[in-house]
Parts: sequence; structure tokens; C-alpha cells
Amino acid sequence: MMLFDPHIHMTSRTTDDYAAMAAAGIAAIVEPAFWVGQPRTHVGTFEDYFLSLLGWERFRASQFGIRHFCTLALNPKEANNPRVAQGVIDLLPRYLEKDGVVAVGEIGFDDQTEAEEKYFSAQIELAKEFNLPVLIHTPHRDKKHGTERTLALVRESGIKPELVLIDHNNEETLPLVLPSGCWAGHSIYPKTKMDEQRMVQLVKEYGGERIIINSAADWGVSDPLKVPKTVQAMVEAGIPQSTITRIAWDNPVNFFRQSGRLDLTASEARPFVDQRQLWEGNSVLRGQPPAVDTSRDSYEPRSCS
Amino acid sequence: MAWWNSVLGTQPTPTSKSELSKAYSKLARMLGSNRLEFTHQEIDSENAARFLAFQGRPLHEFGRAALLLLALDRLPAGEQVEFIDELFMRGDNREREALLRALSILPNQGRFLATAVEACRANVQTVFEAIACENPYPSCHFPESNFNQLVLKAIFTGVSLQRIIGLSDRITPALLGMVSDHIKEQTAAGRPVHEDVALIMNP
Repeated sequence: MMLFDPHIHMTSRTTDDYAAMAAAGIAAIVEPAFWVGQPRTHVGTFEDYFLSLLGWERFRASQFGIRHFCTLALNPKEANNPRVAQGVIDLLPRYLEKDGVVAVGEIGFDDQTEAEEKYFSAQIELAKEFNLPVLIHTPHRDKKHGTERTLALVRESGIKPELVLIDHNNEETLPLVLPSGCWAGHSIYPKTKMDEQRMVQLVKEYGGERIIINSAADWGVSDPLKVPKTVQAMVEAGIPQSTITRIAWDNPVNFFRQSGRLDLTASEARPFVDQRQLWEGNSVLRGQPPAVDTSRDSYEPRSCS
Repeated sequence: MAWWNSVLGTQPTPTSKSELSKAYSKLARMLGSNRLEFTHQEIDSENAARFLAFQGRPLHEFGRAALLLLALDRLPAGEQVEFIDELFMRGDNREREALLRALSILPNQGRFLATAVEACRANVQTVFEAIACENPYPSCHFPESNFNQLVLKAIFTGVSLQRIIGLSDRITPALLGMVSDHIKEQTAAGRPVHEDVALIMNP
């Protein structure tokens, strides 16, 4: 079955990860703009980061047959950094217009400060202006309270709940999020956040409606195969296939399709992979035999005569 | 089409660089990706060379080229080169590709050389091919050293050299020497040699 990882930071991952993800059935991913592990000191580094999500990373994914989309935003942590915060907000209108951007995100609370709240609201307004859904991060610390504040802010903003995906849920927050009408994301992690077996229990209890799973894999200890591993755990636990397909493909597709920019036909029919075109030079391949998808017609170069 | 008319038609149209840039991004979603197929008659016409780069390409690329022509018509002459370069640098892959394919239909196109040469440094293969393949710009405007690098990169990345317009007119002793050295290097490493090198070594 085809799988969708709707939250993964591939910029921090290797080509081995891409190859393993493709082999495990991951056909489409969304990479949210986020905190890169240390504070940035210039607005310009955000701009180049956005461009790499729209350019190089998208191409890198395509070399492994994976469709890459992104969400752009000022992340919650750096909303507290006055050197960059307003400058990044000013950049966003130009970049939110780009084709590969399927939501505004990750926005939300981290320390739950006034600055975070200000930019959280401002970016929901941007999402409304650009007719985009929003991807909302929930804090690691004081999570339940942070999620309640998030839901209140979403309600006050007037954005439709079906355009809102609230991420990193657990047993304590899911019962708050589901009745709001928002979508509920779960980041399956090796040690923190959520694990496969706990996710199985949540699906048994709540079913598959508006439930989304992701790996949130990044530069830390994390696992880019957590979506396929959680699917396997659900299969072994006897969760109906229709529910599994809904969670691992239909839900993220239906959520991000609201952007009008999720190119579904291309996502469903895997992009043509022909690494023969990408030998040494600047390719991500370094002399290894190129993979060729022989199931599709090859490119037919046109003569220039 | 109302949106298209508001950009290109008689309605008040964007003249600021930021509005033109946003319109350039938005265009693909508005026009879609149907493929352009020129008829033989159109290809044989005297303007054909200008538009050959768009044959078989998505409609939005052609629309973006039209928007670039409009932008150059509206912007002060002194700001045009910077505008095009800035649009390239801040573009996503498809925006960059469309801009490169449009270079050869822009007025006084030689002034955009720096952008075109920079595009050859792209790691994204589709961006490199947009300047290198089915595009008359490099053979018309690149200095020898840049053109030779483009050809070498095409060989390295496995691109058919038949796709480089005007290659046969740009074969020089320097290019022959570079390709000859490349063949020796590949042979020494026990790797296959791109079969199209014959187009250069035995034209």
C-alpha cells in the first residue's frame, strides 16, 4: 500500500533514508519548515531554507520516487527571537504563493509566550489570506494546557477547524482535539512523543476519522520509517485495512488537498524514476549504479535539429 | 481566465516587482499543465526557433514567459536585469525552469548571461536541462569556457548531447581536448563513456 508521511524533516536526513522510505512504500511526504536545532541570526537564512525546501529537497526526494511538498512558517521557538521574527513574517507572502506549499506551518506554542501567541495568530491570518490549511505544533512542556490554549486561539481566529491539523498529540490531548473538528496528528518516535503500540490503542479507542500519523523525523534520535512501522503494528493488532488506509494515506491527502496544490495524480502515480540522468557530477548519486523504473516509458529527448 | 486577464489584459495590471513576482508564482495553478504541441506549420515558421524551447512543455511555462515579456515591458530598463536574476534566485524549480526556457525570447537577451551561467551550476537536473537542452540561449550567448562546461556537465549527467542546440557550431579545439581527456579518464576508471561524445569527436 502507498503511505504518506505528512511531517518529516528530510533536510536533516540522508539518501539512505530516502531509499529505505521508498522501499517501505512511502510515496509522498510533507516537510514543515521548523527550528534547525540552533537559533538563526539572519532573516536571509530562513529565505534560503525556504528555497531549499521548494527546490533542492523536492528534487532530492523525486530521485527516489517520492513526492515532496512543504509547509512554510516562522516556527514557534523562533517567534521569540526579535532579530528574525517580523522579518520572516514579512517574507512569507511571497513564498506562500509557491506551488509546493500545501499549508502554513509549523506554527503554535513552544514556551507559550506572548510573542508566540502574536505570531501564531498572525500566521493563521496569513493562512486565511492565502486559502491554505495550517499545521500546528503543540508544546513538549505543559502540553495539555498548551493544547487548550491552541484550541481556544483557533476558535477565536475563525479559521474553519477542517483546515487545522494539530500535531504531536498523546492520550491526554487527543480527547480535546477531536471534538473541536480539527485533524489530530501523532508523531511516532523511538523514545518520546508517541509509540506504535500506544498509537494502536488510540486507533482502537477512537477509530480513524481525522487521525493522522507521522514520523516527525529530524536531526535528533528519530526514525523515518515510523509510518510503515506503525502501519505494521496496526495490521498485527487486527485494525481493519480500510481504517489503516484512511490513516496512512487518505487523511493526510484529504487534509493537504484543501490547499489546492497537492498534485494528487502525480502522487498516486509515482513520479518517473530514472537515475541514469544523474550520474556523478552534482547528483546525489556518487558512482553507484543508477536505479531505473522500467515500468514507465523513458524520456524521449527531442532532437534539436 | 478572469485572473489571467487581470494580470495580462487591459485591467489594471501589476507593475510593482513584488506583485509581478507573486503573479509569476501563482500562474502555474491558474493555467494548468496541459502540454503545448506546436504544429509542423508553426514549427516551420520563421519564429519557430524562438518557441522551440516550449514544444511539449506545460502551458504554464509559456504563460510565465508571456508574463516575463510583460514585466520587461513595464519595468524601467535599469531594473530589468536585476529583476530577472532575482526572480530566478527566488524561484522554485519550475519557476526557474520556465524562466530559463524563456530567456531566448526576451528582448536584448544577452544581458541575462550571468543568470544563465549561474543556472548551469544547479544541482537540480531539471533546472540544468532547462538551460542546456532545447534552448538556443547557450550556443548564442555563452563564452567558450561556459559553453564547454555546459557540454561537459551534460556528458557527466548523462544528458543526450543531441538536445544541445547549436553544439556542432561550437566545437573548438578546447572542447575537443576536454572531451578527449574525459574519455581517457572514464576508460582508465573502467567506466562507460557517454555514447554521444561521438557527436563532438567525430561530427
